[in-house]
Amino acid sequence: MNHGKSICNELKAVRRRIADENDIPLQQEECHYEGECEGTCPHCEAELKYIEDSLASRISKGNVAKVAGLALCLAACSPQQDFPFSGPSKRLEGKPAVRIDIITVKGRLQDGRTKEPIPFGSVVFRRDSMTVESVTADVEGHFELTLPRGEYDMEVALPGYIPYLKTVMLSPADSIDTIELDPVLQVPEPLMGIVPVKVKDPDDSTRQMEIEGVKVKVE
Amino acid sequence: MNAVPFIGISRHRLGVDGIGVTTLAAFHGCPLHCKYCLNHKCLESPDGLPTYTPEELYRFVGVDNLYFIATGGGVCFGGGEPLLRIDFLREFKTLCGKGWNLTLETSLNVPQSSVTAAAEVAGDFIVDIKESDPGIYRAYTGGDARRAWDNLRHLLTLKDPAHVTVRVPLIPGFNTDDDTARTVDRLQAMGVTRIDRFTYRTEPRSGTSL
Repeated sequence: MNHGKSICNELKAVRRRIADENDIPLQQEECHYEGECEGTCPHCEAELKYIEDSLASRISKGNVAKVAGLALCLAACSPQQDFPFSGPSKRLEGKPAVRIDIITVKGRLQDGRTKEPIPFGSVVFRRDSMTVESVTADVEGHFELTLPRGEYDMEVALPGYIPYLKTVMLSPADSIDTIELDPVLQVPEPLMGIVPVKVKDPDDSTRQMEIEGVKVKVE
Repeated sequence: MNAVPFIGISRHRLGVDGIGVTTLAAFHGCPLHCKYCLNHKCLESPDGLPTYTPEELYRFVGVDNLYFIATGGGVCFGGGEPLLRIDFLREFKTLCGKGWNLTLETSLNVPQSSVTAAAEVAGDFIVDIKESDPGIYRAYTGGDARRAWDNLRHLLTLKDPAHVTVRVPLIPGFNTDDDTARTVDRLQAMGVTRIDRFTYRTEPRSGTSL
């Protein structure tokens, strides 16, 4: 078995373990690829993403995600480089379920022009166009929610305001403070009245015309 | 902070850079010039190398977040010499928090203050101590052995020996089995408990050994 295939099998086993411990339905198929592989491929990456999104969904519903300490013994693979790390291989025993890093997100919606709070606005966090979590701000524009650490597409869309769209990285070091929404620009009403317009007829004479309810004095 | 150059990033390393699944991120730049350096790109011009800020690297390697957490793995910084990038390491640690273990592969031939700072950031160290004989050390690396050994002594006051692995290489043409045995004795006398003896590869090779 080539080295990449060995890595692939180990990672596949880790994904299997995570899915089983968290009741995530996962149908794994045997890989029949015979050539050299780097230990991962689009199929394996997609499987990992699916498990990650499933865990995020579980956490957002208030469930606990069991991930830490589910490692299998990883001594099976031969070293990848010339300096093998010859420390003793360790089997990590299953540890009590712990949460993946959960970030508390706090923010405030505010009108970008008046700086006044925007009450009851909806703040949505998405990944790959799928809503992970959403929250409604209070009367003072404040909102708070918890999400697993990671990258999200944040959107705030309110009538009368330009939609706020931003990709954010939620980590212990990041914070979301004040989100300013810019009002949609008001188009000024058309002026009604006399508008001088030069119109030349074939005989070079000028005349007055009415255009769409606006009286036009032709000079 | 500004982006810094990397000579390569290698995912899905199993049991090579510490426990669990790790990603190796190799910095450009090194204070030594070892004759059999596997990653000689770290000594060449950084032009054309990929560059990352801490946040960019965090996002890039974060694709393996579940593997890191499930296996106790994380990111191993090597190179080149990662202790030349302390600010980067600090900021990266702030981003990844406690969920990922950070390992540093280092020669320790850096200012002591960098070692002190690194000990606050990394969970584990893999020290490429090269040799204990100063003459052999200088002949092979071009650097001063005393600084590396003083830093190792200092590191052992900051980290539990269980988190410090020292590599002792047999360097063809530079040292002998007796030399490496003397180095091992010296390390054990200092309190090092995890020692990895091996033989350096000396055949010419191209590219980067990631």
